[in-house]
Amino acid sequence: MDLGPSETQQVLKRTAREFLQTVVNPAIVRQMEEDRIGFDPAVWKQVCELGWTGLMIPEEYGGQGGDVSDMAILFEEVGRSLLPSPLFASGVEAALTILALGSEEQKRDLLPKLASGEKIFVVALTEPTGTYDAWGVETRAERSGNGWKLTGTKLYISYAHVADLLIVAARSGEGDDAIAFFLVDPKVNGVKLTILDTIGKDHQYIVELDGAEAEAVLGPERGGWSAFQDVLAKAAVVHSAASIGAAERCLELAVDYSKQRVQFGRPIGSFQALQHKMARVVTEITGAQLCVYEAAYRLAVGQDARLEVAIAKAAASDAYTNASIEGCHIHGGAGFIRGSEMELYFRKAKGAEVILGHPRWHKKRVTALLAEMAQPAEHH
Amino acid sequence: MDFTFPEAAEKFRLEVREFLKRELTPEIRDEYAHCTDYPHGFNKAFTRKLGQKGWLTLTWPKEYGGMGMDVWHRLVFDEEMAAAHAPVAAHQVAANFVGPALIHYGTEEQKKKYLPPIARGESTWSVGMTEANAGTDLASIETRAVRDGDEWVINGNKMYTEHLQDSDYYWVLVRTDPSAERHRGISIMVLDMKTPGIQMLPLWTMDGYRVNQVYFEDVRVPADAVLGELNRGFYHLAMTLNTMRSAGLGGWTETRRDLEDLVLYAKETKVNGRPLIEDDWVQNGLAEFMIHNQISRLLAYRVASMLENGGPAPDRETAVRQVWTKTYGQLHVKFACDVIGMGSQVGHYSPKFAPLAARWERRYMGSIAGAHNGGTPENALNTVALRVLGLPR
Repeated sequence: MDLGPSETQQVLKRTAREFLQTVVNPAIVRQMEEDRIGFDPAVWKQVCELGWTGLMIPEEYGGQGGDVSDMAILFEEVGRSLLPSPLFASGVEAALTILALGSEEQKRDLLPKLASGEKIFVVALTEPTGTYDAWGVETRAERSGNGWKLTGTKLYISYAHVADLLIVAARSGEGDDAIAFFLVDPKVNGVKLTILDTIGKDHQYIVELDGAEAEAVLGPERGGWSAFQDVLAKAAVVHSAASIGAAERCLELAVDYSKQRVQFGRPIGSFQALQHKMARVVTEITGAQLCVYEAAYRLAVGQDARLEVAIAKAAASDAYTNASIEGCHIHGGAGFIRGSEMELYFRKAKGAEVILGHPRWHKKRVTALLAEMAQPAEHH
Repeated sequence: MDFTFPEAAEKFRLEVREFLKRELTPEIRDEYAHCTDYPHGFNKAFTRKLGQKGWLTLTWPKEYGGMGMDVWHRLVFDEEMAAAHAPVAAHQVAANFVGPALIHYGTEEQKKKYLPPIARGESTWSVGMTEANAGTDLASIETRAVRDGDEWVINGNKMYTEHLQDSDYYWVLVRTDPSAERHRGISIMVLDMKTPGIQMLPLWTMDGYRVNQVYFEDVRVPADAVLGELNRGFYHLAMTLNTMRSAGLGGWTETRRDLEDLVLYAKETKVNGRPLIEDDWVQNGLAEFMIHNQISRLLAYRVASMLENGGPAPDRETAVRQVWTKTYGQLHVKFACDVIGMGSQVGHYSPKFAPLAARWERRYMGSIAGAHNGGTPENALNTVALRVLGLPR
């Protein structure tokens, strides 16, 4: 039991930090918020060459053969750097979805392209209700000749505008079982993309489908939803790891600033009111990080991780949100001026908090699982 | 990345569980439940049985009566003991605090004299640090020991000492050099409780447990009563406190049991025909309780894994674990009382109307003392700020 990154994972983490320091900084993040594409294609090419897009993809499909715990360790650094890129959308969400649902032929066709970075794939699941429960999938799929036509609105779809292929969740009838995942070329008729104005300016899109033609179904026409739960769990854990990395950076910024900023003739970091804020933040981060590692570990070895995943996402999101809020407060005026690094993390924390289930949604799951497990004790 | 116990430790867990099932008799449980002197249950006979097994000192070197086993065995033992609600007051100070300290800085003679009886579960120790005018600021202690020939003569007082009325030895912090800078004139001494001149008066905590105020009047102890280096006691203590903070790593299991019972209660209790657990605030509170308990567990494991790898108890995890325990523990006791509602004020003398056998009434009253034992919650935050984050004083 080591409860942390293995030696190989520590190397991955170190290499990632060194690389990210050379290609991204707060000015670049800010510039990419206003950029039409939203990321630097040259940096993206390097990211793909490093094998990050294919990190979780088995070698036989052109990937690195790593697991979700490797990806979580990598994303601590990605989260910390705020790297703007479709890495999470394509390398995590889409890669996991294709692996979980795709037929052998589809995996052989799609995964090598995704791993090499030749293509970008994006999963379109969420809708205006914003839920990750099955009932939230209202987009309809109707048979049309040999294929399917999709109608509905997908929302919060990151980097949909650079996707070569959208993987769209839609239903052909009632019940969870009637949900399937359709491959849609976003350039076909009936697909309209509009950028969504978000606090994080992180290139999330409104995807309106009006009888859009699907090329194919990814995997089975029925039963895909239950297989997809594993995708949601793994993606939630990887995103939680990103939150841990970002929260650590918020804490560093706060600690550094409070050591330098002098008021009443003393560094403000010497005041216990601020010390205790920062002590609580590091406490929450340390705890949440262990939860994320445990969830990643259990998913990687194939153990039941429903409880651990819900705990990890709730704890990591809460820790990041709180670290960003306290970080801003400790910076005072310097924490709410556009252009400050703190302000960036504060805004990005909101998207991280609500993606893949906000903390209260996960807490509901925690209690539901506890209630399911609760048995009268042996001895009283 | 690995989150599993070594196989040998898991095997050992079954052995401990089997033992506790057999030896933790209904009489002992009952005595624990109704004991008014000890919050952690005191049973010398039971402690001796554990000592015979070698389980009190699993990680100590064999030469002093230990078993020379890894930290995982100790953790497993702690987990099973806490989950079973087994009495520990007769041994835990001796085995988890005094023993490791002696191993670190005692003379060979002292180790040979004091350690084997602790390992056998035969000697009970208390610790005296706090005084009337020295709480968090321990360096301001006033109890003095003055050298007189081959002896030390002790005068002064100690406050809030647990189970001294049943202890064989008293580990105390005394001032041995009043002229030195205040951190530098302090030593640690051991007092045989049979020594004349020690007087104790009981104080009762609000939840009905006994602690003691202690007065020393010309208490004469031999020169070799000094543990460790003379006048270096404060520095020895800093190390020992760190060891102490990394003890009790299995305590989360007791809280997990509390939580599981609370979940059952919320499932079974109906409010106007609807199970309490269907209320949003109940769901949210139970989840946060669970998340915090999970973190306590993982921090305990992390501290254990670093100890096992030969390092000292890690600053960050050790200090942060204190904050979790002291700060968040109280929140969940309050929440559990909220779930129980009106019944949370009812004590065990009205058993018919005391939900969950008045457990949360007990927990609520004990929660203040619990948070202050071994340092205040604010002290824990200070430690994190200064030692982990390196913030300026």
